[in-house]
Amino acid sequence: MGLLSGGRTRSRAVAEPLACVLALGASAALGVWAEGPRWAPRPVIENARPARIVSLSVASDELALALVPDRARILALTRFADDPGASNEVEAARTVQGRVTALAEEVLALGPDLVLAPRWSAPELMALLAHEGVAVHAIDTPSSIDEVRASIAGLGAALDARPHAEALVHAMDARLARVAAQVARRAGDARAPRVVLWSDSGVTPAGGTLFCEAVERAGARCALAEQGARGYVPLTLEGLLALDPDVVVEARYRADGRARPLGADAALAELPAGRGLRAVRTGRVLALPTAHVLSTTHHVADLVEGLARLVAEGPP
Amino acid sequence: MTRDRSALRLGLLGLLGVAAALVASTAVGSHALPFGRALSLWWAPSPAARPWESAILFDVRLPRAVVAALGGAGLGLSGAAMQGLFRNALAEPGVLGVSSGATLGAVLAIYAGSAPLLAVPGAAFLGALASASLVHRLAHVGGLPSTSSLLLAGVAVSGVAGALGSLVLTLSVADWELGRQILSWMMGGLEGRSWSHAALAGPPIAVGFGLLMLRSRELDALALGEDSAASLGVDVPALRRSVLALTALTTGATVAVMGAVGFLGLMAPHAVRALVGPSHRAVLPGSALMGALGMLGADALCRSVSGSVDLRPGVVMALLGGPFFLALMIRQARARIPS
Repeated sequence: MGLLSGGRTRSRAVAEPLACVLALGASAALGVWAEGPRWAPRPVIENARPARIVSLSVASDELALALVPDRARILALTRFADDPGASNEVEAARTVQGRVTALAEEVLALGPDLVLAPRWSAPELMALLAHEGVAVHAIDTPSSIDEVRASIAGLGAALDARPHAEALVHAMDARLARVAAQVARRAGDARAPRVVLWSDSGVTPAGGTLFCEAVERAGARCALAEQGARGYVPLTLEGLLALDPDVVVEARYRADGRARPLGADAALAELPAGRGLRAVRTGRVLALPTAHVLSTTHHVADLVEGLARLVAEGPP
Repeated sequence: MTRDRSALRLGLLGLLGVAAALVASTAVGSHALPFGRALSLWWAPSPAARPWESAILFDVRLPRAVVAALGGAGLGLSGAAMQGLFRNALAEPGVLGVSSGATLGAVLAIYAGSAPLLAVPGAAFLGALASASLVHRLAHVGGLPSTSSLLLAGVAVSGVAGALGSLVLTLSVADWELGRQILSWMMGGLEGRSWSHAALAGPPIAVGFGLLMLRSRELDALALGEDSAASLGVDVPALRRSVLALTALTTGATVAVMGAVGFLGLMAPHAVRALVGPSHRAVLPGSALMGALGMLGADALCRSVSGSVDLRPGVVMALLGGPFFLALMIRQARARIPS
């Protein structure tokens, strides 16, 4: 007597694949049905003047500190707020006690009435916050100075701090205008130095990014944008050698609070192949504070000023 | 009969253990909601409970724990079924590259822009199925698979799937947000898992469990060897196809909601066999329960240290499972040496 009859074997051959397909269909249907706020959501309560603000990104840390002088309204900033390699507002951040990571229960435990979250936050976290009725202001990563202005204005409205936002944009524009006046004589100059950001990540900004706009506002040219590259693109050492830019900006951020001082003696100059680069030979591997290079807020003006100063210095 | 009763008793005990562990694990987490306070909210939901306390307990921790339990059960079940099918104590979805295949399938679905909750489990299933079939075919080249051919096939398929996943990640970095989403997903974890993730993983794991249980007697027969199983009426090729598809289904569902977690599928069946013996009628459900317990424990450990370090369950399992795997290999090698 066998374990199975032939009939059962044949019926299984049909039933098992069918059950697998049905299980996958049920999985998708149930997953969508139970998605996010569908399971007993609470209504989002929006406070016209938020008084319990939690920030989940360095950019929103910097902007909240700049737009909300009443620090009692800010419950928590990110842990990176104390890292000079990431944040441009380390001093100001000391006036806020709370620190938070992007963990759902940490955020909920604070009982915020407004969470400032980057658009790239984990969708699971956003779904949970929406479900709990927490108002979230999503902050886009700007790819131009115009978008930085829009981001500041949008956050100013969300925080009931429009006058502060307008003042902040005005101050940034004034600094950018001063740099523009300084570099005006180089505008459109084909001899303006070609600049590349060299990053340990292997990915670098090209045309249509905030960094390349900062380079152009500093009176230089974005080497990758001139090659037609757009967005963030991979850049190998070989690609860098082929580009052979006049200026290389190195960004070596360490996310453990041990941001290291950068200089011409950094990794690129130490590489045998790197010595073939014009920028290395002429000592134009530039060190800028990583917090300036990474900035997507009004502190982009620091990046433009720093770039303009270093570019103006020229080869030694 | 006595053995059945004892297995049943152990099964009930295991179910109670999982239920207790599930409740206890929701009491572990950030200092904002201490252990005692969380447990007291379970037994006597106080009207004085602040809304965020209930939200953390029932909307953040409970669905996360349910997803952990489901995922752990899926991995334990897959491991037990694979060990039975390959008649090899070292078989499990991670070691044999099935998890890597599921990961690759899911990563491709995310890269293609599919809605995460619709297409990812299906893609993970197809990836897992392709990997399992490929490993099986490779291991059978030249006849009955040896441990080494099985492991080598698993290493090769896992390596290729991992490399292809990395390639997709590299291609996605130009779109920074997509790259970040894929990277975060590849790292696995349970942070932010909700009822929708539980609903997503539940049906495939339940169906996989049910259908594998129907195959348990055939898996027992297969332990005697393929020829003996065939002489007992087992359609061995059909059994092989079925078990591979069902383990791919459960592994794919698990990977879709918590990423690839290795070694749990290896350890859980061994622990269960030590308790209930080799019969798959007991080993399959026992491994599911043991897997659920293991995953709940690993996740509770991760949450207890969250804030100071971003520890993920996959890391905990690898730290426990790696030495366990090596110990098993050494034991198998010693068993082959005549005394």
